[in-house]
Amino acid sequence: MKLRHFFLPHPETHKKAHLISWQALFIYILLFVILRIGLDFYAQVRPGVLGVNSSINKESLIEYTNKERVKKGLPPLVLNEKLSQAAGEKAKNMFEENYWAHYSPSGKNPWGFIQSSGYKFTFAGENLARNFYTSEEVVAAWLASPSHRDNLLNPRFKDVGFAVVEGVLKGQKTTLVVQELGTPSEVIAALPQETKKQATSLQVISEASEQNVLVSNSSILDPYFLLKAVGFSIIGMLAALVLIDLYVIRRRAVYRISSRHMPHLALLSVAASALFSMSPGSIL
Amino acid sequence: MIKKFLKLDLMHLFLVFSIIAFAALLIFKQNTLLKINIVALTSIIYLSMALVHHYKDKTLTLEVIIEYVLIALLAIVVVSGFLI
Repeated sequence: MKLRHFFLPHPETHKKAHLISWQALFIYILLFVILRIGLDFYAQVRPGVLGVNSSINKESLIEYTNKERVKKGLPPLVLNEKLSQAAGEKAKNMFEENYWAHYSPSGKNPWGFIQSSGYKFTFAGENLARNFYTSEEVVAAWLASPSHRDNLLNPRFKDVGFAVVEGVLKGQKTTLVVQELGTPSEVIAALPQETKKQATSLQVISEASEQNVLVSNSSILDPYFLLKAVGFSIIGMLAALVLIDLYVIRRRAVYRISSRHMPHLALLSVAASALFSMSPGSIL
Repeated sequence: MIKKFLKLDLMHLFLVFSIIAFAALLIFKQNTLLKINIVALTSIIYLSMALVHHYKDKTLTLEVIIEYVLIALLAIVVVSGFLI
């Protein structure tokens, strides 16, 4: 078996290069699945080593949020320390009880944290985000989701609090962003009667602040970056080899019963394009 | 009309679908799950069109089928690695 047969079609039989044979494709899939399972397993065995390093901060979060509100003609939200404290407590509780939800396994709800902080509210709302790299990505993801967008651009909310907290969640180093939005109870008295009625029919939501807890200083390997790098390598190598195969076969002017090159390249390009824009971030 | 459709080169038609998939990925760039679904759907269309094309062409061999299935599977597996 010669080395060039791994990259070029066979000179006599014109069979595809070994690296794009169906056996090789099978091995790539198997390796990728093993890598994915292995990362999950490693996250459980060595919690905190794998994770996403974020550069999110409270200032830019409120800046992007208010920018969107102003665009829609809404008044900007005012950063409220009590709501920020509530958001910090909520994030801390999520790490302690190891959950990713608005309600904790022990039954704690978002507005319980707000009430504990001493913020008296008429309406409150909560947006959560995790594993985003930048503040802009977080706000963009919230805006892309109708329910989160409704919270962000709700004219009833006056105050906001943020918490950006790093910790270990389900074995992975995670940056949680908690946004609590609220309307102080005294504001409702100043609202017109019609608005007041609508307000009382709403469910409670909250505001936010920023706090750092459980920060892991150990060296971090970003599993999503690794998956992206491996994915791109496989797709890139396959695309290059398919192109070489196409060129060589045309040059030799031989007819070969085989799969078509262009659809392979088209599908691989679609997959690469999706992979390029993939983000590990999720919102709730 | 059906005859006309059968005479079409489905592999060329797939390239049109790919462009639509690119546009959809661009539109829904914030939605990870939707992007995975777009790739999965494109893979299914790719596989279906490939099988019909090679069947019409009388070049549908087991090796050809396996190649298409594995490339479609690879595209799905690579992007679904981002499902949390």
